[in-house]
Amino acid sequence: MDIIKALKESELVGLGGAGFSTAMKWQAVKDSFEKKRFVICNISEGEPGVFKDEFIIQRHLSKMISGIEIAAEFVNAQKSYIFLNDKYKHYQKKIERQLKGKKIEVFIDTGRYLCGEETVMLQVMEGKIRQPRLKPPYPTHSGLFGYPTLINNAETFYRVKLIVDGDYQPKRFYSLFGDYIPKKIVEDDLNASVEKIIGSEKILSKIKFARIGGLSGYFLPKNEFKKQVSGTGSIEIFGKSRNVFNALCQSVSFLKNESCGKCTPCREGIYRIAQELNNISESKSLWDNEEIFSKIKSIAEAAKESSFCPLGASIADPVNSAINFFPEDF
Amino acid sequence: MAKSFEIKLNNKKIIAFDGETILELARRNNFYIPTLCYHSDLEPNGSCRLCLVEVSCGGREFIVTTACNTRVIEGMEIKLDTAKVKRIRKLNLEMLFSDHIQKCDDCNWRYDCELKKLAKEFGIKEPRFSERKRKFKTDSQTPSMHWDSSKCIECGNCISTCQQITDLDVLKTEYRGSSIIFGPKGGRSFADTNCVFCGQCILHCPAGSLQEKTELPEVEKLLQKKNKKNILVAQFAPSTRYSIGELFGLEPGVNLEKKVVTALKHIGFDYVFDVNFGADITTLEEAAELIERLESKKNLPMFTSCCPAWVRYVEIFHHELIPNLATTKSPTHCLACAIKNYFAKKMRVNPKRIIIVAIMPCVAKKYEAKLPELREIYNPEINYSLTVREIGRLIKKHNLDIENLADSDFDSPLGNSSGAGTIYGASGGVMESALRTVSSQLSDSKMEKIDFSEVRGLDGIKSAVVKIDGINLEVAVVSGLKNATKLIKDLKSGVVRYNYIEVMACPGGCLGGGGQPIPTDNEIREKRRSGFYIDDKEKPIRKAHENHDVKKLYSNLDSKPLEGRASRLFHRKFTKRRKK
Repeated sequence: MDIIKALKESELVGLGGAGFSTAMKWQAVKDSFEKKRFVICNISEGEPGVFKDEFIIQRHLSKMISGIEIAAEFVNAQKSYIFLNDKYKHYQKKIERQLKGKKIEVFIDTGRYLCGEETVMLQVMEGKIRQPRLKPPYPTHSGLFGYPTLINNAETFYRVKLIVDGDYQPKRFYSLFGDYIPKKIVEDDLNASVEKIIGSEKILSKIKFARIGGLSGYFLPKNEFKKQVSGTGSIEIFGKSRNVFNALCQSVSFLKNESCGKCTPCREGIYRIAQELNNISESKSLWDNEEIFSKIKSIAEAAKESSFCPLGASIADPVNSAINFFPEDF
Repeated sequence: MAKSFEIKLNNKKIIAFDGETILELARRNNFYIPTLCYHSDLEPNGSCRLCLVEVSCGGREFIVTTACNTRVIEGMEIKLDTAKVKRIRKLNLEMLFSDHIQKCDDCNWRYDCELKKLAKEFGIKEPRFSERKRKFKTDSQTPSMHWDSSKCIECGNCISTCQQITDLDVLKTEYRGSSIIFGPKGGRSFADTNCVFCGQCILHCPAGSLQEKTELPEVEKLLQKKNKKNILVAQFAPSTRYSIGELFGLEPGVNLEKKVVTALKHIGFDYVFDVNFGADITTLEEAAELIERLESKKNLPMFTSCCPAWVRYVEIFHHELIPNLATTKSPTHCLACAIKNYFAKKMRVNPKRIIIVAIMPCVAKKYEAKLPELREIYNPEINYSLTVREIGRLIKKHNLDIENLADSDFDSPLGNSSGAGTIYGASGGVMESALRTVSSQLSDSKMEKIDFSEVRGLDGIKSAVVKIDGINLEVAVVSGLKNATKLIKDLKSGVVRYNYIEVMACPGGCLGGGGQPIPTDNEIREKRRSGFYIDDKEKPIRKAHENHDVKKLYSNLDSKPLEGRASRLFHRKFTKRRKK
């Protein structure tokens, strides 16, 4: 079976958030000149609002592992790794039971948010400083220890297995949680709207806004719920009584703690945004607020445009969307 | 020749070469891009985010990117200084500025602060953000290094230097995000690390967070001459005279020794001597040692031991190589011993009254000066060791215009030196000086060779086979500790075989030392280097053993190299140090 052709026809993209074409990634690794190659399945899932990888470990583990095997065979990899966040450490035994006799190893790390960026994950696996690498060269060309490495998300490998089995439908997992809804995984179309994923009219009527894409994602007011969900596929919903300001503070303090500290706009910028948000809660006049807003917005722009890696740039989303849609909440 | 193509920069068509970065392209074509963390010695970190430009590939949308680590590709269009770039750049600098506590008084960058220059250029008047690092940690437990994390702007150059130039991994990070700390073992003290004090990180730190531990206040106190009994002696190293001018806006490679003597005398030193003279003593002793070891075939290959950082490296990491180190002291200590014995006797003063201040291109010399092995009972051989930067600050404090000072000569009888002493500051210089003496002592006077150009140059590892009196002497010259590590590995595995090896911890030798003026990069190193060899050529005496003053010294001591008093005065012991 021609896997590349099947992947191309299915138009499968990486489901970790960045959405890069899987077929192209696989081909790039296969075409490289180096003999030694690696495959890594990334289950770092450091974003608290996303739990689809955990769902896959619970329900579809054997399919995911076959997906990794298919990839390893296709790119001719010497060894494959499952990079497991240590918050999922209790699944290690379960996973390893299924890995017997296979050239796949589990690598456990404190993971954290940063390991979602593949080059940081590689740095961690090599035992180096926990900071992103310069791209290019991309991991497909020079990855783990300088060898071509195929890195995909757990869900991508699961979908690959479905494609090979002929069961594939253009769907993905959405992590849905928040007020009125306990944590749950919804499988829906790739371009499903927020409204459709939440489904229930009763709950929709009680919602004020949602946070799309986890703590680093953006805020969406209810009247924009026709839009489709992008990125990591996480939806957190907030009830009528909730304030976007507090949610934003939560996002910013999360990103501040998770920043690696490499580049100025992310390290300093997010620290300053947190500080300015603190100033807002203490300031009394509107005039002060205007000045603080302009500062926050300019920092967000600097972070978005000049950060070293996409994780630093992501601060702009929550900040800008919160200020644009809900200025009255500040 | 690399492939070249045409690209557009600021709407102007220019030729770009495959593989070069936008910054290199712009600089080659005289376009200005501000940088802070970029240093040509290191792979670009891309962490300060000031060298921003807007780039579009193949007609796509313009995106903001850093010039230091983005390579040019065909069909690229680059715009410098757009409004957006200027806005973001300014904000980034503003944030960096509030990240850096301004302790300008004793900063390396006092007169040439990169941060302040950029702030002026970008039009930042008052930072809009509060200082956030008031109470951050400092460390000055070791005699050489002073680390102040409140000045750190987290560019990561120190770590790159420690990995790419010295390969020691002393400097590390600890914590994440805004509380990240770059420092010795992630925020402990240099005393807890295997640091060899080469000081390369100081040269590459753009914010003055890493500096030498200054001894200037103590020296200044002495210079006020409260104690009339003290005799203050300054001695300066071969390479310092070619670089000190850079601190006063002159070109690198200009020999300023005569002006510096005047300046030092003006500041209040009683005598000024030349370490080149000490270098001649070292050459004689080391050549004698080499000949002896070659004859007895013991402890070969012989390693030079002039570089204190290299000696410390061996003492910590390679105990088995300690017998291979030449036991000769470094030139500055040889000279200090000559001053405190020969000169003191001649002047009829008690050696304890003589205070020697050495002016060195090195921060490891500060550590060496404090070693118990290099003391005469209770009297240290060198009392204070200052870097070129420190002495430059001292001269500036006295408002001396060094360019227009009158010339003066070094004090005799320890002032005249040979060309062999002059080249000590360049990588390969120690080797060449020793070879000159060895070759003339072993072979007929007509056959002897003076120029050993095969060991010159800025390459990290140079090797040659030198023919002296029928013997094939295999020699290697190494600069940069990373290369030394590589060479030792090769030696042990038997890939290479040498008789005599010179190692300097800093790239290019002392002329690129950790105590040299900032900035130091390859272009500047090359300019400094050329100065040495021009002066060497012009010297009437180019071999150490022909120096009359050295001959006089030995006859006065009533001994020969490696014998009697000379062996007591000019040779040292080494200690095994524990790895931390």
